Amino acid sequence: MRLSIQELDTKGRVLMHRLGDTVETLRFLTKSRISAFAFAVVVGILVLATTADLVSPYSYHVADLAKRLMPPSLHHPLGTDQLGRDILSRIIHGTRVLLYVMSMSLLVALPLGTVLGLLSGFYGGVIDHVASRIIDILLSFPTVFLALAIVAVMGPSLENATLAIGISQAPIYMRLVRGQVLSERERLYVESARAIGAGGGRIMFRHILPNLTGPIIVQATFNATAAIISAAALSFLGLGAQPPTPCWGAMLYEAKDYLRTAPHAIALPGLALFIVAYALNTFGEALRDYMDPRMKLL
Amino acid sequence: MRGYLAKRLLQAAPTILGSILLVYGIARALPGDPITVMFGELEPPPEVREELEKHLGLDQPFIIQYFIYLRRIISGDWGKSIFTAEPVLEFTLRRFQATFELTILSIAIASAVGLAVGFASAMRRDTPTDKVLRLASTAGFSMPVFWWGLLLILLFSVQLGLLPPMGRGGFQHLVLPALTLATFISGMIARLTRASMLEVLTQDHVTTARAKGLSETVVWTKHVLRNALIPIATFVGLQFGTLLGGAAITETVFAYPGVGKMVVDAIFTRDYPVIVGGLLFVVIVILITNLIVDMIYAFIDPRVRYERAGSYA
Repeated sequence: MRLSIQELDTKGRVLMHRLGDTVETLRFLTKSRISAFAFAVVVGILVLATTADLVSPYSYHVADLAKRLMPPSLHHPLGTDQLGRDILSRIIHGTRVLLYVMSMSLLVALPLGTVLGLLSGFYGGVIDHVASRIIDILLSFPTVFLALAIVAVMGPSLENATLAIGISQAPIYMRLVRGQVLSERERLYVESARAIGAGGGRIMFRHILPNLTGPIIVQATFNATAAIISAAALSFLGLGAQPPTPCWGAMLYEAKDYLRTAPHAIALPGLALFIVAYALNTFGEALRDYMDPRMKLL
Repeated sequence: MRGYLAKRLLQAAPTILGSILLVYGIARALPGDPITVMFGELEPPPEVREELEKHLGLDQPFIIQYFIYLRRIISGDWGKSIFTAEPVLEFTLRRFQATFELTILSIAIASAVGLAVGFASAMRRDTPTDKVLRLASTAGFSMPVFWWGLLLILLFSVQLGLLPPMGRGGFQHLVLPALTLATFISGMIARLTRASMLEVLTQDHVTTARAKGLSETVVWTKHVLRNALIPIATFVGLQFGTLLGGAAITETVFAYPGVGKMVVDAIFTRDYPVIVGGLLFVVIVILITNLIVDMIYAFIDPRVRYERAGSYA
């Protein structure tokens, strides 16, 4: 298809406008020193996860018992663990586990929660009653216990732990979306869509849902933090990632018997997890302020 | 008020039944049916198995079995631990005492620290003090509790030798696990306190109070703090319920014999009656606490009774 000059011009303007928006968003998200740091950590995780094999100095799984539990040195900047593996390399490879947990739990929770939330908020009545009770029931199971139950049934693995976390986060999206739909469905644009004959599905997914992306993205950021901490916690109990997976929680689990002799093997992977959780929470707050300046109080 | 309570109780009933159904579903999904568990490695003869299935109601449809199960748990028969043969309900209640002590201390520390930090942060809004306190509270709720617990053990038990690293005994055994849990919760309470105080601050009644010429101290304590406390009280109540259900991770780090650690241990030993009993207990405790929190909420804030009565609460 050939475009006329006018069409090209419009497309170009739209593109420039979008680019301007992106630049503005980035400027807002990196405004203060602390949110710039948070943004850098988030980008850092992505870079490290994609280049882990190139940038990590050693293999993350090859043991070298002659070098076990060595404190940080020039050869091993963060020391070695109980099997003589380089802790820095394991932490770098661990960013892949983080991305896995964040994306998979999101893939489970988001579609499930969003669809149920849309249906129950939009149609109300019996659907809403049933969905609301399901929210109540799932929310009465703390994430860790729901995960413990799933792991007890299906066996301990990172995949099962992530699935459990996803299921336990679904009601959070459900409640959020349901609440938003309740107010959105009274708005004029929904009425207009109805007036021109749009059906329920079209109104929900094409008209209402796009208006909810802001709050959903913000919630997803906070849930991502919760997901990586829960996954690390389950791995720390020995019920999540199994050796030799370089999950930061599993590294703590394996090193906890050497608390006296090699505190660095505990301190450093945990510090990495803390920094990422801190950065993601700060990033989420900056996003929330950007999307909804009224929330700035928090 | 009475109408609201009745409505709330009616709403709670399906949730409680549904939660127990979910626990029962988990129980049935666990590897090994009750008869195999009873016999261990030995396979019972088919006629014995059939007889037992009839006796236990296992030949009935799922939903009937669920009601048999409900009747059993209401009458206090929660099964027996495979290993110690101790009745699960008694075992759980004994563990619950430990969890209860830990919860009380954690919530007390978290509320005191969280309220103080949040209050100071709100009063000095947008000053360097506020900034530092906000950074600290975000750090608090970003803290992975298992790591923080190990660091506290490293400092207070290994390095300084001041406090026992694990187990249950006197008060000193409670300090480290309670501090670990309180760090996380106080961070959230501080943020919530600050936000909710700043919100109340913009309301008309505060302006009126100032216009009347009341001192700032009176305005902050009597008008702002008191109104800001309502959402904070709810949050603390919900956290209280969650902790009462057992802090599985913190209890495991400190080898503290509470309900949470009981369930974790039971998973490793495949003590299925204990896993199921523990889950059931956790869910019931949390639902009951939430119900009580809701009622207290309606009691201290009359608006709730009217606003929420019609809708989903």
